[in-house]
Amino acid sequence: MTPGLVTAAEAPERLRRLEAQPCAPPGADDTVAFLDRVSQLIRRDPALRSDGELQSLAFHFRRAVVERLAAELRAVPSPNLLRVARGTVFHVPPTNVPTMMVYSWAYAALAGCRSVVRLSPRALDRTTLLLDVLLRAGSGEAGPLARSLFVSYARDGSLNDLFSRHCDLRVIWGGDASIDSIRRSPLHPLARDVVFGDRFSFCVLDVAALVGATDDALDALVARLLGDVLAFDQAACSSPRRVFLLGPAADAGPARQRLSAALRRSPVVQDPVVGRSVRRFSFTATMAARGAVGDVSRDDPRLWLAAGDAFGPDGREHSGEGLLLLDQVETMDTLTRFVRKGDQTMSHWGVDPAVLRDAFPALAAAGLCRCVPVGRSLQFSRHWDGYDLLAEMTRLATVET
Amino acid sequence: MTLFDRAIRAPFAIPEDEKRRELLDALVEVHHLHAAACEPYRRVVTAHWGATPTLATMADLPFLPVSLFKTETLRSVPEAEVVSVVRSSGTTGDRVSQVFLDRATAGRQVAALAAIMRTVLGDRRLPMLIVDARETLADRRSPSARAAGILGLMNFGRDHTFVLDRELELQRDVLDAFLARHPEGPLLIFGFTFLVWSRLIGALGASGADLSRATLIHSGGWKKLEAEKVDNATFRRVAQEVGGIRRIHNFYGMAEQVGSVFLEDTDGRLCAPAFADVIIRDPETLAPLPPGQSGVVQVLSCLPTSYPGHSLLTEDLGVVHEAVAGAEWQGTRFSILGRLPRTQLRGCSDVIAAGVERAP
Repeated sequence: MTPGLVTAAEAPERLRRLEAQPCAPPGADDTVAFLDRVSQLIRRDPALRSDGELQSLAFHFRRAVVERLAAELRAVPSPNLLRVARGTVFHVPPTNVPTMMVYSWAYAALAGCRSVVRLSPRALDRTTLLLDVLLRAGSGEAGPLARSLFVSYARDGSLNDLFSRHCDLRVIWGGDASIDSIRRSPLHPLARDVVFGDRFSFCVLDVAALVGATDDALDALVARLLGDVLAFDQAACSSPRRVFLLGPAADAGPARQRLSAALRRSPVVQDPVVGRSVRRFSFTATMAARGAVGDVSRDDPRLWLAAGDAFGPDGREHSGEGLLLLDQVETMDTLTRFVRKGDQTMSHWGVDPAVLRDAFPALAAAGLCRCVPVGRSLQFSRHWDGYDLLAEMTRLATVET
Repeated sequence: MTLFDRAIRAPFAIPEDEKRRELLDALVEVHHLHAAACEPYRRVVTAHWGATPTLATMADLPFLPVSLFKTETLRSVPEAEVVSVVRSSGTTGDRVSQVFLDRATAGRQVAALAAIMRTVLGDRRLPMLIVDARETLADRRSPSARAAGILGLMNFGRDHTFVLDRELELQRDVLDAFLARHPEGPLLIFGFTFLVWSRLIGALGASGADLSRATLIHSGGWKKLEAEKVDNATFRRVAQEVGGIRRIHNFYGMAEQVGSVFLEDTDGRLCAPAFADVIIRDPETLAPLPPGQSGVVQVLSCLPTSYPGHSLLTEDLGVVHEAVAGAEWQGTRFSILGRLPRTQLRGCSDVIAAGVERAP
């Protein structure tokens, strides 16, 4: 059995022992040191150099950032407030992307919490790799690893029930169907859910900037855009699936042409994914039959482009695997009318910062969670899907003498 | 005489270059028919090939994905003219394809199948053993693809005998009685590949049976047999060992392109009849590939006029073989290698939610 991984049979007893462990104070130094060791380990290991997911993780938990988070955890607004760990956190990462659990687990660890992490046997190779990294970093007898249980099981309602009943916080990485399923296990009355469900993300490119930019500038844009689109085969909640060309309708055509030309020049190489073009074609044909999509460019297997009506009933339908649907909007106000609850990331390029800042309150009120420059769509942040993970993993106690 | 009329007389006898030219003309005509009569088809073509694509070669012809028939209504004749709606078998959990036939297209389907089968069965109806249950034919108005296949082949047989019970178990007594009724002369056995393998050949037991007078026609794909590591060569060998069956013809076809029946000739390779053809496409770029390179299979047929099923990109992988000089049958030779895998689920969205088990 993978070191660090507990079987379903052992789980109930191990949970009992886990609950006997006290939580640590939030922002403890040894936790900071541990996360720093994890980050360094990933960045220095030659075998992990080309592992994009892990390198992103390492970057996110680099020393300067973790120290800042820890400092914030230790600080309180007033002497009458004390921040303590929330307790036991039950993490349910996506079956095929176990790396996500490290994010919520690390925030829980930094907050001093105990953790139970469910890992699917289907992603055993990946799980083994992740646990190996954590174990090599080592956290000692009283560190976060000693306060954690990593359990491998497939679909086991009784284990879901057990962990849900015994946790103070349950973190479910979605999508919506998974959340509904896990929610069939009732929580302890005093516990809460933090859920990361199905989300939609898109990109906005300024038309005037596209038309007027140099080839070099466009090459840089395309490199970043491809990075955002190709990661996770465009299936992550932050993966942009639509592009809004912001500006006058008359310039949209030339803007798309410049984008296509830069795409053709791009040296980005991507391993083919078996069957993706057949699946993409299946999608674009279905949408075209319904009148929702037109003008499909299939020349570049890395990325297909198509014109797609964002404001119609199929505006959020998507195939993933390298397809961007383009639509044109005159103003940010129009774009704001597209946004709704469940949208997450808007990446932007070439848009006037003042215009962005002015529009952001309305975009956020409509449902948008975050706004980042193109190239940073997949960068994780402690503020995610409307949550502040530091706040979620801790609770505040008050004292008056 | 049209290509179709000539093809009906001799599906594998028209010289290749002659066939190619005439088939291309016929397909272009059918394409324009559907572009004018079927709005969703026109939209798909315009979106992917432009409003007026150049159609100089077979590979220039627009194609639809087979999956489109699962979700969209694709019809080129008024609803009142539809005489039959064929449903595809689909995979578990999938929606089923709907294919709309008018009298003309249905008639061509029957004629095409008859023409092809005559080449291996001769002109007379043969005593026919069906490796399936009678219950499979329950819904006559809207037959499943499996039922449609059986009904189509039944035209070539007589004394139709369903040799499996409703649980799809072999009824040995029924088989023996059939053989006793027809002690001499050729026989016809038809069934779906996985049923023939597991419920006939696999159920004959140690003593086997003498089915050496039979021509076995089977279809349905090798996917279900992949798990048992049974390929065409194994199938043929065991069928001969256990049942004495030497004349075996697999056929490849799909509910979405009725009448397109690609029959295995005596050298074990599928062959395109004169009114149909096969193109292999690169799975990444969808560009056409030459013989010898495997890729996604596109099937073409000038038969479907009531619905736009004349040019379809399948979800199968295959390869076209180089033409062999002096081959008995004319027509593109190819093999089916398997199915394209389904999507790998990645990213934060995780759809594995159903079926959580609980202790009682």
